[in-house]
Amino acid sequence: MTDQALHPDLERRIRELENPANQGEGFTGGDWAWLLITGVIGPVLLLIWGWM
Amino acid sequence: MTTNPETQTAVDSTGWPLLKSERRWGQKELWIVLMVAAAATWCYIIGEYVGYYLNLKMGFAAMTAGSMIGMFLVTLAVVPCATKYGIDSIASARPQFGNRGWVITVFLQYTSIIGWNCLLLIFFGKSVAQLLVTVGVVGEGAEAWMVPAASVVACVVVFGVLLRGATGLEQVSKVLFLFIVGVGLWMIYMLLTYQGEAIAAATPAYASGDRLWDYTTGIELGIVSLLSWWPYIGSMVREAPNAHTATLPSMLGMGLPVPLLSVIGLAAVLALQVSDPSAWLVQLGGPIYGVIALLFVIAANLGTAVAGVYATAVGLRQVPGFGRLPWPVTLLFAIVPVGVIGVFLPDLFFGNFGVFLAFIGVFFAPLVGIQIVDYLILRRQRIDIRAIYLSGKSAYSYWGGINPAAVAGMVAGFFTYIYLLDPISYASNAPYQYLTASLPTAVVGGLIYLIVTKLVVQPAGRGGY
Repeated sequence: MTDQALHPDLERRIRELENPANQGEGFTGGDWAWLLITGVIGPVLLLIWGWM
Repeated sequence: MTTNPETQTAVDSTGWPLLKSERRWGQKELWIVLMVAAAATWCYIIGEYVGYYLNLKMGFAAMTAGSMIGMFLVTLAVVPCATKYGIDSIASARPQFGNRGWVITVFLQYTSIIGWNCLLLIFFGKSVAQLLVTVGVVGEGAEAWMVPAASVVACVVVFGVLLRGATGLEQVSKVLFLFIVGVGLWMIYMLLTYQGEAIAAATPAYASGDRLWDYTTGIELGIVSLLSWWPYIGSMVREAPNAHTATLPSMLGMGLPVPLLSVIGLAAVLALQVSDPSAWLVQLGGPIYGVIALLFVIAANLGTAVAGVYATAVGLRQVPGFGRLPWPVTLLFAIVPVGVIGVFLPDLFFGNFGVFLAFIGVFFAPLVGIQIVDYLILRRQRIDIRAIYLSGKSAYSYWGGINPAAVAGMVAGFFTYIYLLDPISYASNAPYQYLTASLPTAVVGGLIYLIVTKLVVQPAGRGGY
């Protein structure tokens, strides 16, 4: 499945990114908290305020 | 932020993944770029549409809440994958759609960004004409030739800026940032100071009589407006080294400017029955204010148009055949359609903005639902980065390069949206008034994707799960 030739620079990039140490980290616990506050809780409170 | 421009442009021109060492945008840089991309005069038109149904308080609450919900969905769909592997929105959708089916997302990106850019450039042309007529430089009827001329000039400027790739985008954003923020705040101040009483007393012109339906429609307009950030956001957040760096800039830097600037359009249409600041600022303060407003329109639209064309060009680079073209030629493919429509069909998008917004919801709501389910739940935030760039047999070749789960999810989402809210007439069916159209569409799209994947794709050993 992986015998297709890729451009050398693309091959180099892929090899590096296949190593988890070279990948960007995902959301932290704090990020999830911010996401919930700004994307769910905040909008719900705002909608209640707007309706009143 | 010391990326060598030549190196940066080379990476842009390939559409290949950015290595972590090449991703040097911090929160500040990302915040500025995303905010400048979001702050455009479409906000006035969005505010104007909401002002047809809701007063200032309800309109502000509905637009802001809807926008943040829409941004939440887009952030969940794109940011974790784009920042982990340094890829744009289009590449991040290949695991779901397959190594041929992903052209669906390229088509959606291409058409939506061209549509938005047409809207921006036509708005710019109309503002120029409006101001010049008001101050007596040209006579009535100048709009007929001024809108096409302004579109061509704007396209040439955008092309020149983006010859330097993301470096050009970042540099333009830095220059525009303070101007956009400052004048935006000033315009809110002007409206509230001089028209506060009129705004408070104003009633929406086209309110349906059903308060809940009007409120939900305001929320829906906010959600779909921000869903349209899906094509833009990946090419920008991939410049950040991790998801943490991009989280708040995405939610607040890209999510909040739209409702905050839309308040200007909302308040203006309630008080003065016109959302274009080049028109109502002249009413409030004369030609000088009109010139300031026009400069704001130019600054805000230029930043967004640059970001949109950049994202489109990066997406096009991944289409077979486009990858070998020089970067300037790819840029032309992203810009020329905008110029052609701006010259020959300037009123097409402007007169059908509501339909265009619904189009965004019809297609992008199931798309984000599918991506969230696939990347965060089914794949547990891991993809085969190599398979994304293999055009032949790979983990993402599915059946003929197309994932039937994604197709089923998109089709189910399409019909769900159409049932809940007719994009042409805005006629609705229950439970639209309680749930909006976009949220159920995203849920249905993601759910159907999950079911087909579990029943068909995974048992067949396809998809690299």
